[in-house]
Amino acid sequence: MIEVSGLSFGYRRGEPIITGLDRVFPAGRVSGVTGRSGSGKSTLLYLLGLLLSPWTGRIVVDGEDMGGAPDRRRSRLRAERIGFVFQDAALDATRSVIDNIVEGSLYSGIPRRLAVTRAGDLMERFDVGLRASHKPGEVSGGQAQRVALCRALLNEPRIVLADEPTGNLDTETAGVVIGALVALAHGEGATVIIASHDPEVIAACDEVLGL
Amino acid sequence: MLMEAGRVARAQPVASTITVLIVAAVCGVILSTTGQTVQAEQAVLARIDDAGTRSIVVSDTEGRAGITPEAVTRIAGLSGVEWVIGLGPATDVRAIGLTGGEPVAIRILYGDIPPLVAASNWDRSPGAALVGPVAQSILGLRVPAGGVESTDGSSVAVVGWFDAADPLAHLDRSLLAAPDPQADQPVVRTIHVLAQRPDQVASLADAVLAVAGPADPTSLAVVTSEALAEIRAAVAGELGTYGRRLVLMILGAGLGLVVLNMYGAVTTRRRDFGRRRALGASRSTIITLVTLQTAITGIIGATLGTAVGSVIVWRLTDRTPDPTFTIAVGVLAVIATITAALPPALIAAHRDPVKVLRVP
Repeated sequence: MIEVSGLSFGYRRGEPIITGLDRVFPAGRVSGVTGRSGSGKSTLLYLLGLLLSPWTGRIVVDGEDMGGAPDRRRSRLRAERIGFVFQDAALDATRSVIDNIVEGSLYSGIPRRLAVTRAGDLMERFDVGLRASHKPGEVSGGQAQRVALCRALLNEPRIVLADEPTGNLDTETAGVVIGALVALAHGEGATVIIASHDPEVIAACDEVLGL
Repeated sequence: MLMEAGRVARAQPVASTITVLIVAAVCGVILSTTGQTVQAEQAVLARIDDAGTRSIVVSDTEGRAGITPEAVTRIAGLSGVEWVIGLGPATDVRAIGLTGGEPVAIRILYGDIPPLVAASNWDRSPGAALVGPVAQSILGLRVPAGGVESTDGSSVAVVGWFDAADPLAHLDRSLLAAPDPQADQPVVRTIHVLAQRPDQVASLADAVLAVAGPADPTSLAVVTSEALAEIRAAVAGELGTYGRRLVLMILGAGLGLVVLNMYGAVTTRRRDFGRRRALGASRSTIITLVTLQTAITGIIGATLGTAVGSVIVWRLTDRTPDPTFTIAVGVLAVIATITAALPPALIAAHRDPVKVLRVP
């Protein structure tokens, strides 16, 4: 669960994007964040993912106030408990698909052998197993996004943050991705937060925050 | 993390190759310029040292000092003394049984034969002596064996040879005899001392005079290589300063190029660092990764550069550079490379990951 209170943030001094936000993102539910472009959807996601520090307010993750925590602690939590899914997959073009998926284990401390086993299971589950040795440039956009989903789920995160995860996908692949995220929340009790302006994605969420 | 750094280095072949080439060039240039200077410095210093920069000679010029052989033992115990010998008064001798030979000097040797005097086996029994190569020729001895006698009729057996190098080469014109324990009031007329380091010569000369315990100090003359030692220090200082300046200039230039190259490499990897940060890499992890990546290329470059530089020096001078200097150049180059990686690594670690992860 993530709880924010009095959250304010902006990229430039005097120009806040998010002001005084109070909100609970509960475990076991899919929370949607929507709004027009520039409204702060992605920014909120990155604040919740501890990649940004708020101007004011608290970000409490599973009972720990992480808003002003030092970088090392925030990074540790990100590595161990948070999974990110980006709009454009953000894969490393120089590594194979499987190496992309297990990259996070470098920072979370998961032994590589265990990471590879988990990656194999995830690739089978999301139907990209045959692409394990391919480079990202050799797979389709839909496959790349499923690989990114595998990467986000490798450390069995308690929190998944997805920024426009279906932005570049066909309807079928988008359905697979959203279905996986919903299953993660409802089946495994994870906190799933999706930033999107896609009405179909927002409709799949249990609750919606409009910015 | 080391393997990941190696993988990143391979994934950026252009940046890695440029770093390898820069570091290799730095090492190669240092070895082929300063390396030769160091060799020249060592050659000059060796020649100065050959002239006896570390020697102290105490002579009883008037014969009144009354220095006893025990003084040699006491001087040998002084700190900073590499070796010491004492020589008794010179007596003229001629070869027994040969006519026409010229007289040469024979002197009693006190103390151990120093390393720079090669000699045949000698049990140092009283009445036995070694002959120097020049003395042997003057005496007309075909082999270093036989007998010599002084003008007062006493004789000494020649039982072998010796061959002295500087600063004792003058002894080659004489014979060295073993001391006779039964001799009445033996005296030492000359003491040769070699200091362990040139800078010890001045203080050691004072200590030698004090320990020698002369009955009449005014009879003593001391000749040291202090002036030569000062010249040696000046030469070493001048050449050393020049070499150090050159090394620093080349390292500085190389360091600047590595900074620029790594800054360029880091700039093109902003998205890579953003992704890593999102996956849980801390700032210190990013700094470690960039530094290790650069260190790996630096080590490869230093190895390549020192190898090539050594070959260049060998081809130019027929001598390979001093191994210690070569290793020091390689280690310095790697340290400089790692230092050069730190500013780009800090920049990479503090880039805002969100700016590169967001899709407009």
